[in-house]
Amino acid sequence: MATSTVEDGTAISFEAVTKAYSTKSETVKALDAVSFKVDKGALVAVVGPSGSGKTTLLNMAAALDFPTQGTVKVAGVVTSALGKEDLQRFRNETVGVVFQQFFLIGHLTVFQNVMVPLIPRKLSSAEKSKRILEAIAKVGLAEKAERLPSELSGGELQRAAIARGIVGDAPVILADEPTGNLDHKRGEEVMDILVSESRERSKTVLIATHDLRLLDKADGVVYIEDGVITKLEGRRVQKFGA
Amino acid sequence: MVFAGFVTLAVLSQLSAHFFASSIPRNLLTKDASILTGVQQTSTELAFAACAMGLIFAGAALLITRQMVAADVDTYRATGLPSSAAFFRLLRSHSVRPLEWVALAAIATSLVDIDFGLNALVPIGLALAFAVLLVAWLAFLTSVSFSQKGFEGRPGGRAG
Repeated sequence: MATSTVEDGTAISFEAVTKAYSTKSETVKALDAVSFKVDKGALVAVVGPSGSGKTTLLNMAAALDFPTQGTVKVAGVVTSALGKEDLQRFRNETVGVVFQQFFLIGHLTVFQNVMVPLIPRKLSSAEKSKRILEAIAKVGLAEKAERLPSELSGGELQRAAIARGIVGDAPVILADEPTGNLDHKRGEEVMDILVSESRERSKTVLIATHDLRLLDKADGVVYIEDGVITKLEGRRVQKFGA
Repeated sequence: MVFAGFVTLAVLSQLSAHFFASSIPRNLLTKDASILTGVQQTSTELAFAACAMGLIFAGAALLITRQMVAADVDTYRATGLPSSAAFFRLLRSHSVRPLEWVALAAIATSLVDIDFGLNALVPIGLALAFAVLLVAWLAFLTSVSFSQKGFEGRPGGRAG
């Protein structure tokens, strides 16, 4: 996999990243010269109103989308420089993504959905099963492992998506509005799972949210509005180059 | 389900022709052989029409479910699966039912046709054509998704 020299201790860095989408009539900048870096093992919240560019920022970090200008580095890798196979490996091994709309596969059970990131891994079936059951138990869905997504509540779907995001043991976890569909209590539970991934397993966790109650648990906050970073808060998230 | 219905229709058209031909008195057939030929020709036309309709409806069903299948392919790609693994996952899980129906329909129709001395190639050909259509369609959707590097807003969308 292509690597580059990223400062020690930095897990994610955005350097003057702009993402523009062109329509027939205009060009819209979803991100405009965004620059920041996140320490390894930190839990950082990306906060902003709907349509501010939070999802685009997370998609960039997940190498699901690529900058029009600028550089995104995750775990020492410049995402836009990745070839096809390295990109697959990056998406599979380096990042675990929890999507806002879950993207669980409807005809697969919770167990089978959580297994998806482990399919390309060279692990024994027993090891895969062990990891899947651990992830499912961690999010409190052990008794619903054989259920289909259509048989789960919104909160359970969210937790199944989180189990899929953490099962691969990736060093970076990216979660898009992970508490958006949950009541306060369930939201707290989901946040606790992500906090434990950061504190106990040293994962770098980047969470896009507009739930300001979550900020107390974060090591840093990136405030974004109209695709522009308006403020960085906390010691573990800094301006790029600082 | 729709496809299985059309396979059944193809077999029924053949069977009805068979029973109709059997019910014609022998003295009439010897008098005018063109009656039997006419019945057989109509039955063949009906069977082919049922096949064509079956394939059209199967194609429509595949088109209607395109977004759902494409979303699954995108999810596999976003999770870092290679295209071959994504394709075989689709074949093994998403499409296993249609392929099972195709196999069952082919077996059932060939047994019926052999029993009644009819041409089993029509319904079996339809079943095979559907299997080829399904596999080719899934391969197409997989290759379309995997030919792209990013998702341009999918999955996750641009909002937020």
